[in-house]
Amino acid sequence: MISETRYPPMAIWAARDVQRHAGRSMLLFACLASLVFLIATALLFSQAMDATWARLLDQSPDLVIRRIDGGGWAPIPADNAVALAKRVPGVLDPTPRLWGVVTGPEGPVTVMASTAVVPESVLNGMKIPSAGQAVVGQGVARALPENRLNLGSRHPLTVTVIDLFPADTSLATHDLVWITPDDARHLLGLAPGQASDLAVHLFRREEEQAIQADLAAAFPWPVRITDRTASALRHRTQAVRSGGIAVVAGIPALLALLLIITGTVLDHTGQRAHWGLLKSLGWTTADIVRLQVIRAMIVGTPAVMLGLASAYAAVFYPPAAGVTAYWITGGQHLAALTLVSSGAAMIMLEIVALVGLPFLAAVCLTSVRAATDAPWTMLQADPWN
Amino acid sequence: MELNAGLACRRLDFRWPGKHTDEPLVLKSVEAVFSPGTVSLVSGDTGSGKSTLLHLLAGLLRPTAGEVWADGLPVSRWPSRHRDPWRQQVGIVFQHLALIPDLTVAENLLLPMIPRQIAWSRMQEEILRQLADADLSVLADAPTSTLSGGQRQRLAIARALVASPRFILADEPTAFQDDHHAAQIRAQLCRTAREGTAVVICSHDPRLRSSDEIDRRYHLASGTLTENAAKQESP
Repeated sequence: MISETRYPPMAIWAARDVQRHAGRSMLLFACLASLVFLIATALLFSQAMDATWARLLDQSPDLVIRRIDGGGWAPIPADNAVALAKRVPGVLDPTPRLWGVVTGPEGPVTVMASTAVVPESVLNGMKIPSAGQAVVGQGVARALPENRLNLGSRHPLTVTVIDLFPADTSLATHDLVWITPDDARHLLGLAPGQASDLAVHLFRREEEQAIQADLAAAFPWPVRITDRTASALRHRTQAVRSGGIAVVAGIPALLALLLIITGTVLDHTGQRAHWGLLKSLGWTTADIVRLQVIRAMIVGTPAVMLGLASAYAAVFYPPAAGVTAYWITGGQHLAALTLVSSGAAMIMLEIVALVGLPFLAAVCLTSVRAATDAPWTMLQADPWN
Repeated sequence: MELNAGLACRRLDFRWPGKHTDEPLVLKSVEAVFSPGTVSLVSGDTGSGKSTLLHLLAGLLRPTAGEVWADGLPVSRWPSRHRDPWRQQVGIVFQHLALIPDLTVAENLLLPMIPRQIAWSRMQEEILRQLADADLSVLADAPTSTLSGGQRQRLAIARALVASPRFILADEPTAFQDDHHAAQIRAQLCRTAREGTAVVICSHDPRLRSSDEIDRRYHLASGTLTENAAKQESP
């Protein structure tokens, strides 16, 4: 019964109050929406990075084994390495890979000749390069004269670009050049039968830490083993570190701004007198606080929704997504990020916790503080005295 | 003294907070009963404390000493959390009217009804009735700031009456009215009293002091309230 009679009039009056103070309401709306946008962008970007990396790494090898010597990385004897790795229990499908970093027209590029270097789903439907041909990532394809790509190393090579990796795989393929194994060996200076490293899948993925010691012991030369977790962590840290500091530094400033505006809006002298009048007409402190909370929700809910929608667009829709990636990562190219629904729900909850609850708490506390005075005292602050 | 119904003052003293104790009291040992169904008129010179008495009766101020009782309950002693809801039983007309100028006439009448858990349909009925009684029906959607002084005063009275309170406290309710409207307001307040409401009017308007419809007359001077038996003739 109460909900039928008390809350609708209160809600309608709150909406009228928002309309009466349109300027202040708009200021609050803009401030809240900006705050939500800033926080949601950082959270969505971080969550999308996680999801995208998880999707790509899920198709990557569990472990990558590289031979090392006094000079750094050393080529690995492919057949021998496969045979040695197969002896370790739990190791599945060891695959030698051919890849390396060489000089491209606009900086270093990653050359690969083995499909095991990138997830199979990335290569599905792509043209397979033959001798003298290449498939390249979006970052390499820029400003290539007549589709000719010059790759520099001890044995330079010029190839013709026949296809591009799709933009939505650029997190993994941005600087990638896919060429034939013979071209790769020529370019990287590898002898026949040699590979860059060995990719290994495990029977039980959770053993990736435990099995590393057995694998290292199985080879007669020193090796360095990289697992999926370390790989993911390295990329995430690199991506979020630079921009994260800027975002976190901005949050206290915006929160302070929000509190100032909330205080200004609610603690206005005329407002205080208005509340004194309401109390003299039979409103209780609880009624006034309830009115302010409903009023705050009328302004705050669409502001949060707008902030979230803007953040979503800024993270997932180009060209805004490129600007956002630049802002957060400081220049790293990140395109076509993925959002998972559970992650989105978590972000909604985080936004409510980070912005909604402090805002409502500020409204409640400021209202309670101002509305508990004696009505006569409040009326004295009025414009009619 | 009958404390069971209406508003009653018992040995009511009032001094403004922060004033020295050696300064004279605004109200001294005020004793009065304002019973349901009666119209009481408190007269006195400007500054004699009439408005202060009304504010004490309305629970807007706390007495320095003594008590205000409402229907047998010592409301002046109550903490705010109990006095705030009790105030819904009071309809007050301020001397300065205290209307909200940017709201329409109808919206000003809506204000006291919102926290009272009244259905929308009844709110609308009451507002329409009060607008008709106050000759303001055609101005329902007009901003209050566009009204004349007399119209604003009638609106303030309508706002006090609209939620059908148990007690009506009116401060100079006829100050800006011509004779016709002053008589109309007097009749309106008397009609409300006959329906069981305790009506207290503070005024030095001779048209009210000379009215036959006033049941009890008080005079406030030097902080002391005395009851007058006879009405005063209009000059």
